[in-house]
Amino acid sequence: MTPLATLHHSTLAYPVLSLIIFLPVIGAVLLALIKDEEQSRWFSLIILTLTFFFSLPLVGRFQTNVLGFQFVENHAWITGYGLSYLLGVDGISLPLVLLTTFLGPVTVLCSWRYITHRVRECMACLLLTQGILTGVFVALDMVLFYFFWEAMLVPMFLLIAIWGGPRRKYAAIKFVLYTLAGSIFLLLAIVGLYVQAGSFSYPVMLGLHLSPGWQFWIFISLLIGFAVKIPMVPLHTWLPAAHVEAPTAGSVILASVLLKMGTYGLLRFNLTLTPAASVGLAPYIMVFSVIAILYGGLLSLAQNDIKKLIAYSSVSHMGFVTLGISVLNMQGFQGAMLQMINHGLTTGGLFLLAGMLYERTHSRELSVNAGLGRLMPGFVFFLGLYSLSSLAFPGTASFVGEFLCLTGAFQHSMRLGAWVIPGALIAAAYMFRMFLTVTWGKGGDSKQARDINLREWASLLPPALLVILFGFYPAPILKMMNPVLDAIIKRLPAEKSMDIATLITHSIHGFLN
Amino acid sequence: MLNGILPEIIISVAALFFFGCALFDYKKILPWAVGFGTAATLANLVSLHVQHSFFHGAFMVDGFSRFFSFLICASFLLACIIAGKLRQTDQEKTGEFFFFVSIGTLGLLLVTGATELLTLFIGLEISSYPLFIVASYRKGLGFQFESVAKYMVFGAVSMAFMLYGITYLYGVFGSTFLGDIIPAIPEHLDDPMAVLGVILFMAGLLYKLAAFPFHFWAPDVYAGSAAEVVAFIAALPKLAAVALLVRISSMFIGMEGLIPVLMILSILSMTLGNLMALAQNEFKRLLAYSAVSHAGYIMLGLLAPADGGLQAALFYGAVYSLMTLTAFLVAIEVAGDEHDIPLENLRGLWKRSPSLAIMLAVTFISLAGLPPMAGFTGKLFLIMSVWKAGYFWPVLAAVLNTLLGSFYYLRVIKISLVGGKEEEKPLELPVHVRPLAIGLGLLILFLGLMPGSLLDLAGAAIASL
Repeated sequence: MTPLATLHHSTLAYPVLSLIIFLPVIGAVLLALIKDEEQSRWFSLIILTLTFFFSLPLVGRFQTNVLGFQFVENHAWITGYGLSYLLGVDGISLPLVLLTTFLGPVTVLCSWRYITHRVRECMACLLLTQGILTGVFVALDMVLFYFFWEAMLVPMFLLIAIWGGPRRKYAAIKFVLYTLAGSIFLLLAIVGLYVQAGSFSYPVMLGLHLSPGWQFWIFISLLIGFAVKIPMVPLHTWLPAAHVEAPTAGSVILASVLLKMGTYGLLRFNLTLTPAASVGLAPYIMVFSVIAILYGGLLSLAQNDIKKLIAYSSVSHMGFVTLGISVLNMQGFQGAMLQMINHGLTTGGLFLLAGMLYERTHSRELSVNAGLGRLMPGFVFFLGLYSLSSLAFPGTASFVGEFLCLTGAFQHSMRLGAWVIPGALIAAAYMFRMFLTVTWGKGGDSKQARDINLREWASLLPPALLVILFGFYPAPILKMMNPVLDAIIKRLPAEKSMDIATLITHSIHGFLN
Repeated sequence: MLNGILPEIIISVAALFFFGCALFDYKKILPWAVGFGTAATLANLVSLHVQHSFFHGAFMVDGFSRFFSFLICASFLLACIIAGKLRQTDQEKTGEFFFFVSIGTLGLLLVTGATELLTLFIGLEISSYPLFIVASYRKGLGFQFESVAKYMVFGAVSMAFMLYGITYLYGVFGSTFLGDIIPAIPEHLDDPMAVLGVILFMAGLLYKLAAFPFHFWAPDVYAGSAAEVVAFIAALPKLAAVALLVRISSMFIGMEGLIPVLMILSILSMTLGNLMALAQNEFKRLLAYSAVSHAGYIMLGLLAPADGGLQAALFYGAVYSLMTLTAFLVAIEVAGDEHDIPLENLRGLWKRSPSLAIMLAVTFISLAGLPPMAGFTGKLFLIMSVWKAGYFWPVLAAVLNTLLGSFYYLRVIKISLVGGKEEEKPLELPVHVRPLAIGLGLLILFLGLMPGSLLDLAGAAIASL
């Protein structure tokens, strides 16, 4: 058994992972009892803040030098079918869990006045998404993982479809159908793995030695499932639609946490369960990543809708993450992980700002909002900070991540690095274009400018502090995940051993005969 | 000995009682129906572990038949509750309605326990004819007679197929008792006459299950008859059909050519049902086509008797009838006195009755096969066992169909939860509907998260075959 699959029992007296999953879920149910809108806002804020505080012991008690899963909870679920309620975190899921719980209160704060009808239901959806997303990152039983993965669709669908913009129904349906189309392949892969392993437990599956044919097809199915979520070009078209129509909180959840489900899955499941196929197919992911970085960046440069601009920049940034994963070296992995967290903080912040502009001018057009920033010093401070971080300016968090991704790419080959460098330049171009227009451009109605209030400060400041902190001192996160990333690399075979053309031909023969 | 057939006795007494009510024009039958239904359901718990054979081995009380009689009685009870005041039915015929429905239920109970082919056939006939009659019990002039005609003609033809199949089986095995047939099966695995007999026999069951290619009656009957009647037709006979299909395929699955036939029919049923449902704008018609596709899913389980497929089929059958009945609760309450339920009528259901809307969403998420609802868990068990048995293509078809199905299920959820005007008039619901809706929604969620107990029951039922 690989050390990656070891299960360490919790050093805490209470089931901390279940607590942070189910506290928000129970909160969502309890909201049914609260009739008053203001009370329901406060109630959700308190629940999510509590959840965040309950997730802090995870950092304190996490042993960074130990491989395998910690804080494990293992209960029989459906015996006879190899299903168990198995939760645990390791170095790559813990940062994402913390990111989720950290952004929870922020999503409530940014919906405080933005959501004006059916407030209680909206808060219930926010709480549900929060719990379910945490579940995705800590579930170690594949069916449990799939449960959370799919269950997330429902509250997200409602968030977009009920509280979204004018084309919200179209966007919500598109989002759900894209994700469903991807996740049926994920389900296929999971059942396929079960047929091979006889159990749905991920640690058990780590002991599998799959034949090249199985590895190839399982990798492909998993990849389709995850690629829709990431989203990788050409499966990205749901993202701008969903982002533009979603309410601020929806955008923040989508950008900050939901997209990470895909890259997390890629790193956790694809690379460890199908190592030979990963080595064989990594070059193709690289190509799609480079396309995503450049194409996403160029699209972003052409947008006049602020949210769309940020959405396409997300495509480009997630391209960096998949690039970091696909180069299959330590720097790349570290970069990818950091980029996931930093993108979560930065893009989340940018969407918060876009939402605040929308609350003031009721438009997301750059031209309508041009020049308003000048009159809102507090707003511009954050806009500047998050924009700089988004274009990976040294001293902000994204710089470290993107730099490591680039180092990984250069280490893989000079040519790959050369392809990606323009992506970083385009990022500077589109971010500065937005920042300059919103701050000093001409055409906005200055009467609508109103600087951010205390509540908005409260939602913007915590991510901003982390952006700066991780910009200068990313060591704690790196230390957390290094052992796992190292173990994943060691599992990968050194050489390409997979003849893809033969595998495909073989399968076609199998289909025809 | 008699406590083994306690549910049958109770349902028979109920039928006689309702007949009396019809004669003396007594109208307040609903509490009685609920009472008899509850008693019959509880009686199953008494007889759950009884094992006894009646009528010289023609009718068998064992774990398998009691599992299904429990489900059928529970569905009978639930269908009576959701039927409520029979708003779409001619008020003159309240007594007859319950009389025929309980006779039909009795027939189904007979079918699940029958271990002799003619008993089985008679059971099916007893269950069919009363339903043909009640299918026409609708207030006003709608399309109920077309519905009855289609239901009956298709029923008669497929029953004829079935009887023909039985004669073939008799010709091959020289007996109509399953007890005599089972030991002789291995010698006749590639006997064309036996294969033909089994396939013809299955035709009758596929008709009950509304599976392709015997599904053409379903949309018209669903749309044409009163919603209360369709709730019975949609849920109860399906359970008996699943029982019989499972019994038959557990015996004959080794037969030459049976697996390809089942596989192709199941794939076609899933796909065509879903494709047709995509285009529907009427709620009950949509449910009819969704029934066709679910019949395909259930048939998947028959392919893998050795790998837990039968157990999964039982589980899915039970869950499916629960989901159908919950969907019809919405249909009955929303329709009121109207004949059709265009999907547009569901718009703003959230405003008119939040509990019904949430239950509808839960049910349709479950029908679409998304976690964490029971429909997903059932589908998961089905595809697990089928793939374990080595069949990949049906698994792929089932998974792709999940996507296809979610198009129209999500449309219904979207219509009922999103949109609607602010000043919608609340639905006038009877008192019991709200707790019932919440309870049923929770039950579907519970079976999705904790399927263990029902699975164990299904496993025990299969083990006693």
